[in-house]
Amino acid sequence: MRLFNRVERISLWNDLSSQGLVSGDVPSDENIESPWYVRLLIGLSGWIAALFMLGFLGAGFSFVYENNTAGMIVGCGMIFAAYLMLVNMSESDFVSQFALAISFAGQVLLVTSLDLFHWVTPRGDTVNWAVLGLIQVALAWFIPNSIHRIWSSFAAALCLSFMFPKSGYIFIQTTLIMFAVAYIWLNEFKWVKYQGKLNPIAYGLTLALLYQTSTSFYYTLVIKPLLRDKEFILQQSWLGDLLAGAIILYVVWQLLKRQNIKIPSRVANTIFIATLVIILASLEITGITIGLMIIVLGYANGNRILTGLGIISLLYYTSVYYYLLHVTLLEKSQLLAVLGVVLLLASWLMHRVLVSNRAVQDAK
Amino acid sequence: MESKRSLILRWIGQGNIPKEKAEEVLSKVGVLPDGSGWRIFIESLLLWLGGLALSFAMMFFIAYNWDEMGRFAKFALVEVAIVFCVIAYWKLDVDKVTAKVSLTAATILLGVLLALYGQTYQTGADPWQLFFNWALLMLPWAIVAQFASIWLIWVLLLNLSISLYFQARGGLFGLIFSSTEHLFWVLFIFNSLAWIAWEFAATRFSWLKERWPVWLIATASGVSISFLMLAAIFDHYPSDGIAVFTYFVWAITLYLIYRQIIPDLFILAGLCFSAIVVITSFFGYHLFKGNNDPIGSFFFLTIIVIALAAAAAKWLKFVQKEMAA
Repeated sequence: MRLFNRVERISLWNDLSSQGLVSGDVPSDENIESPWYVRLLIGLSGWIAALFMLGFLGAGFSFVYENNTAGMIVGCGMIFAAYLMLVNMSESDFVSQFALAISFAGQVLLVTSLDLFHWVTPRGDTVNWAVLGLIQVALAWFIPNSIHRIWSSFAAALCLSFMFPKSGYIFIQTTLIMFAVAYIWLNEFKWVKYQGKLNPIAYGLTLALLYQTSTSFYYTLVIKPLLRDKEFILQQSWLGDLLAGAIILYVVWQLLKRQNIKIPSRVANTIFIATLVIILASLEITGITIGLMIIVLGYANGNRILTGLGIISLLYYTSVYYYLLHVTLLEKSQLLAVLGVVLLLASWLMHRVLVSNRAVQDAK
Repeated sequence: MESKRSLILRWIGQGNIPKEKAEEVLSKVGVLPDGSGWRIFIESLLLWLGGLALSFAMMFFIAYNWDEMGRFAKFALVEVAIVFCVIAYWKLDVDKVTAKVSLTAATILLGVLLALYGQTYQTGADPWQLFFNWALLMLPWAIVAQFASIWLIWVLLLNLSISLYFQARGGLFGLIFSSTEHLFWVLFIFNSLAWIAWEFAATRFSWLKERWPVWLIATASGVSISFLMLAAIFDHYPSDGIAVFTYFVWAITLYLIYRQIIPDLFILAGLCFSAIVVITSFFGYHLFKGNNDPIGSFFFLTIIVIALAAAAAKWLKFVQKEMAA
């Protein structure tokens, strides 16, 4: 990732100006966004402070844990106080950090008072999870802090999945998140005036999607208990895979439109067929297709963080896949071998079609 | 400093670029890929994923230990695959993606071969020896490949073998009683040496110029020394004094180098986070040790963390602006 200093920024502005794309003086250097690792530091510190704050509440005001109503009122009050601080005093780093800690602590208090977990296992209380999910959606939209937005959208997606723990709709829910992720990233530049809100929300949903599809923790907590009702879950799982495949074809369609490639045409047809074959070859290993989708979306938008997230999720999913017990290692190796061959063939096919298409265009 | 994409999006957000021209500007400056960019990307992506999928398929297959296939057939399968990959690398242009994929696949398959050998002949070797021998045997390929990711695999393998060595043997050369403390000292020394070597090599070889491999190794070094500091605070090992001294020397060195010589905000941010954790742990330990005022202790720790994080955020923003100037 090439990072720009002031001289280079001025040069870039002058280039754009000479092409008639911009006008006026070089913009000032205020409000440079902090890189992702600085925001990660702030977010993690906020959570550490929140834990100490919860300890403080437990030590001095234990009634908030013993009485669910008190816990809910105090939790909501803390979240509201954080909202007021972030709306009115966000220029101060100390206040922003304090507000984050209060909000996170308030949310934990709310979760414990709604009695949503048995240790780390989510309880299947649909109404309470729906309430928490709606609160998180509201926080993601209204709280003017990118770190908080990432967290709230992540949490909202998880609330949606925990709403129906005993049903197979978990797979449909995952595809809903997948569609939201694809749709927001594909339209990132059409909705650029909302980028301050939508970018963090998109990141949060992307992290939730990758968490749900790539981690053994989520699999053990949520998916594995469902596998007892095999027939119904199998149906829902297949429906989820089909919907996921449809979403990926939709992404490919949109990206072809963006590149002004005629549909149908030789190039477009080849790309669609190759995509379909890859989807079919990876039906039992959807973590790979989802990781692929994230990598492609990241590349399409010039977003190296998103591409990196996709690569990490692919590598992580492969290691988790090794330990999943729903099929044997022999079957897994066969699935991976088929997928590997399909991918290499697709690469060869793309090379032939795209290179010959380029030759035809150059000749014209 | 900021990337071109962040820069353009900031200008759009500030109203300096009309919103309706967002995609056009991003395309013109090369943030959004063009047709040839997409072609190269799709081919490379499918090649990489295909090569890695086949390598992992082989790994899973060997791990299954399928009785229906004889041991010589299994050896032949893996060895033919390795030879095929090496020949492919030899024949192809080393700068091409296919060559890099071939050599990476050969590197992974080498580990599979060693695992198969151990599985077949039940040599009684410890798991750490598998990873150590793997790293040793792949070293000539790493030198020849001129590819950062293969060197990263090499560093990872050695980290794994060090961790497994201490798990199996307990202590250095089995002479010293095992402790996690010794493990983290060795990991810290190894990763710090790898880090230094990488930074020096990056000044000579352009294929090592990407920062993300350095960040990974730096994180390994930072986690190790931070753990040793936490151990010094909480557990009181014999080497506590050395740990504290080393931590301060490490922190000051990082500050001087990555603030003045090789500006790198990621490493400075990592240093800040390590400092926050260590300082908070120090206060936490001393506040709760024999203290009857948990309310005050928790409150103080909350404020400490918030204040440190806010100060770190402010300082990092200042440094970022300075680097961007």
